[in-house]
Amino acid sequence: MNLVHRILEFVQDSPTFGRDRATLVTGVSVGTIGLLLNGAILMLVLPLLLAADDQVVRTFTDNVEFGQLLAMILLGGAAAFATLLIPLRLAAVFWEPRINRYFDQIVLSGISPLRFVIGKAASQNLFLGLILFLLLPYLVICFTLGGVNLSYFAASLFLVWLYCMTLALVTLWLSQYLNELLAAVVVVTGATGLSIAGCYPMQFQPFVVTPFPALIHPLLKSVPGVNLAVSQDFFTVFVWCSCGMMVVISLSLVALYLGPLYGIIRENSTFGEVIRAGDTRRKRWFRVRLHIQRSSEVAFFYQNRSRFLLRHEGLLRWGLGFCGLLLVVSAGHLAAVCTSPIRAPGFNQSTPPWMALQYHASFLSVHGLGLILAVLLFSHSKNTTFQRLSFFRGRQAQVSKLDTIAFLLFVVISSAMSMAMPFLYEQFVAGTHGISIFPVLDSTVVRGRQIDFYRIPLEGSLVVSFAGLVIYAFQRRVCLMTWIRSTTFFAVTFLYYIFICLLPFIFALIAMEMPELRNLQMVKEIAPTVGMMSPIMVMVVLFNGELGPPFPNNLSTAPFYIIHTVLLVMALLGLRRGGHPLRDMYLTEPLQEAAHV
Amino acid sequence: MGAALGTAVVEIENVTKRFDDLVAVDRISLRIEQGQTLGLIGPNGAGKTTLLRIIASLAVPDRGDVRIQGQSVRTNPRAVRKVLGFMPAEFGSPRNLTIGEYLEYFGCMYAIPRLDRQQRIQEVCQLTDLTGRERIMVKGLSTGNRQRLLLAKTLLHDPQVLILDEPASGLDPRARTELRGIVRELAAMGKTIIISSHILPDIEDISDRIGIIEAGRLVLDGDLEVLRSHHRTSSRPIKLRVQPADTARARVLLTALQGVTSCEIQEPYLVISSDESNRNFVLAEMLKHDIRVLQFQEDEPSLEEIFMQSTAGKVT
Repeated sequence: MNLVHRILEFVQDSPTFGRDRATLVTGVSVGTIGLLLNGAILMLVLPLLLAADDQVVRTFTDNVEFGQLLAMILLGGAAAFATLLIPLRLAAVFWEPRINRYFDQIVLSGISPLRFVIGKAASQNLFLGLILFLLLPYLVICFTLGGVNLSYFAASLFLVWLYCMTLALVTLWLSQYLNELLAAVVVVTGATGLSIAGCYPMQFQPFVVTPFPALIHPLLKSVPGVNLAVSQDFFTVFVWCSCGMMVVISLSLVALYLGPLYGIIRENSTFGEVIRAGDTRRKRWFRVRLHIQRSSEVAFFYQNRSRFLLRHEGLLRWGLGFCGLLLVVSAGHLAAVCTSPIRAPGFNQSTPPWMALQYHASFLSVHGLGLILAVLLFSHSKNTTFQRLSFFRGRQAQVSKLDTIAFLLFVVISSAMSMAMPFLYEQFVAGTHGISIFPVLDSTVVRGRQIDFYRIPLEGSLVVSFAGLVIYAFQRRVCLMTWIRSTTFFAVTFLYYIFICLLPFIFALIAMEMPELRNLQMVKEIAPTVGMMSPIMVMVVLFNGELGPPFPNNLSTAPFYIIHTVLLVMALLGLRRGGHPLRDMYLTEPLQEAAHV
Repeated sequence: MGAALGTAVVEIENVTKRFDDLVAVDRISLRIEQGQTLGLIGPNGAGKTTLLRIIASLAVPDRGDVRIQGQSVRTNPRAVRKVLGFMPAEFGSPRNLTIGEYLEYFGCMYAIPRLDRQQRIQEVCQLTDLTGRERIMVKGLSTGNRQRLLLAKTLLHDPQVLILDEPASGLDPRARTELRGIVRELAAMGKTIIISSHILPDIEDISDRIGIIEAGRLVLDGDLEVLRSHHRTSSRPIKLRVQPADTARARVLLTALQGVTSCEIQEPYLVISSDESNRNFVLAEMLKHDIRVLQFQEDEPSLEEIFMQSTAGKVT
C-alpha cells in the first residue's frame, strides 16, 4: 500500500498533472470534446442508419446483437478519438516551456524529466474518463437495447485505457527526440495505420499494440466466412493485445526514465543556444531539434535525473540496450524454430532441399537484422560520441568506447548464435522428427550443383558479420560529421546496399547473362570477381540455388573479404582521422567536468 | 545547511566563459558573504547575464568554478539549485494560469510537500504584496505585478541565495520603489542577494556592495563607501550654507583663502573648490570670523559617476 501511495503521490505531485487537470475540467474543453465526440459517434453510427438494408450492414446486424454492435462502435470510436487527440494534447509538453521561455525555471527547480512528464501521461486517464462520461447516454442505450457481453465490454474498456496510456507514453518518448508536433503526427499516423491493420481478419494478429484486434473480434468471429480467417478466441486476442501494449508502455517508461543521451556542446549565445548559420531559417521552417539546443534542456535531461541513474548511466543504457537486442535476436531464432513446419500435423518427412535452405536463411536473416539494429543502437552522433559518462558507481567511460565494446560483443554472440542454431536445431528438433537440415550431399543437388550445407551457417554468418562490421565502421565514421544518427544510419545502409550489395551483383548478372557481354573475354573474367564483392552474390553462391550455368563453379568468396577488409581499413583510418579534431573540440575541460557526477 | 554569518556563501573563482571567439566573462573572482547584497552593474553586453547564469548553474564556465554554500555548480548543480533562487530578466509562464495556479505549478515543481504548499504560497504572496490577487490571470498582469510574481516564484522554495537579473527593468517609479522595499526586506531576512540592473540609483539604494563589469571583466568591486572614498578627489566641490546676511562676506573671505581655487554663489549655497584634501580649514576660517555655518557638505561621488569613471563603454 505504501508503494501504491508513493506512486500516486509521485504522479499527483507532478506539476503537469495539476495543470492538465485544471485545463481539462473547464466548460470550454468539456463542451468542445463533447461536440467532437458526438460528431465522431454520429459518423460511425450513420452507416447503420442510412444503409440499414445494405448487404454488409445487414450481415453485421443479423449476426451481432444491436446493443453489442453499438457498444463496439462506441468503444472503437473512443479509441479512434483518443488516437487523434491524445498525441495532440501531449504535443506541448516540452514545446510550451521552450516557446514561452520558462524552460530555465523548470531546470532550476531540479525536477526530474520523468516526474515532469508522468503527470501529463497520467492526466490522460482524466481525458479518457471525460470521454466515457460524455459517452454515458449512449452506453445506457447500449445496455437498454441488450445483447452486450459484459465481460467483452469490461475487457475492451481495459484495452482502450491501455491504448490511451500507450499513446500518451509513446508521444512523450518521441517528444524527447523530435519536435513535439512532429512526434504527435508520427504517433497519430502510426497508430492509425496499426489500428486499421488490426481490424483486418487474420489467423495470427501481429498488430496487437492497439486494442482493435480485440474490439473487432466479436464482429469478425460472428460473420460467416470471415470467422474462418480468425483462429484465436477473444480471450487469447485480449491477452495478446494487453501484453503488446504493456510491452510498449514499459519500453516507453524505461525510455522516459533514461532520457536521451544529449551531447553537451558548446553554446555560443548568452541564453545557452547553439546557433549556426541558417539556424533561424531552419527553426522557422521545421522547428525540428537538430543540433539547436539550449543548455538548460541538456541540463534538464542530463543533470536533473536520479542520482542512481547518473551514477550507473552507462550500465543501464548500454546494458539494457544490449540485453534487449540479444532478447530480440533470441526471440527471432526462437520464432524461426517455433514456426517450423516440422511441427505441423501431417508434415512430410521427405524434406525438399529448398526447405532446409529456408531454415538456414531464416537464422541468417535474424542475425543480419540483429546486426542492423545494433549498428543503429551502438552509434552516436558527433555531439555525444566523445562524451564521458558514469558507467558504474561513478566510474567514467566514453560513449564511443562503450559503443564499440557493445557492438563487438554483440557481433561475437550473435554470430555464435547464428552458427550454432542450425546445429542445435538439427540435434534437438529436426533430428527427433527424423529429418535433417544438413542433408546428405548426394541427394541435395539443385540445378546441377552440390550444396555444402555445413558451409552455409558457418561462412554465411561470417559474411553477414563482416558486412555488419563494415557498415558499423562507416556509420561511426559518418556520425563524426552528423548530428542525427538515424539519418546517418539510413544514408550509410542505403549507400552500402546500392554500391556494395546491388551494383556488383547486377553487373555480374548482366555481364554473365547477356550474350553480347558474356562473349567479351575481359568481362567474362572480371564479372564473377566483381560480383563476388557483393554479400548478396556470396549468399547466392553459398545457397547455390539461383546461379545458372554461365557462372563458373566454386566461385571464391575472396573478393568479398578483400573489398570489405579494404573498406574496413578505410573506415577505421577515417574514424581515427575524423575523431581527433572532434575530440579536441568537445573534450575540453568544461565538458569533462560537466559530465562528472 | 546555512552558512555561518561572515563566511562566503557565493565563491566565484576565476570564471571564464567564451562563446566561440567572444569572451563573455573573463577571469572574474568574487566572494559574497551571507546576507550581503551585491549589485552588478555594467553596460549592455558586458557579461552580467552570462555571469548570473553561470552562478545559477544554467551555463557551464569554460574555466574556473562557482561554489554556492560550498557546492560546485560544475560537479553538483542539483545541490546548488536547491539553495538558489534565480529570477530571470525575461518573464516566461505557462499559458492560461492564474497567479495561484502559477505558484502552485512551480510549488509542485520544487516538490514542496502538498500540506505545506498553500501556506508557502500565502507567505510569498504576502511578502511580494500579491495577497488577494491569486485568482487574477497571469497574462493580464502589469509589468510590475509580473515582476512581483516572478519574485514570488523565485522565493517559493525559500532559497538562501537570490539572483535577480534586471528585476526593475520596465517598471514605473512606484513599482521600482516597491520592489526596492521587497529586496531590502529580503536582505533583512538574511538572504544573500546578487542583483543586476541598469538603474543605478536602485542599485545604489539597495546594495551594500557593488561590482562593475565591463567587457566581461570585473573592473571594480567593493563596498559602496569604499568605492566612494576611492573616487573622492580633492577637486570635488564643497557646499557651504551660511546666514544669508553673511553670504557675501563669507565669499570674500574664502576667495582670499589659501587653498581655495574658486568660490561661487549658488543660492542658497556657496560652492567652493579646493585643492586640499582636508577641507576643515574652510570651517576654521568661518569660525574664526564668527560666521555661523548652517550646512557644510562635501559632495559625494554618485554611483553613476563612479560607473562612468570606471568604464569606457566597451562591450563584449
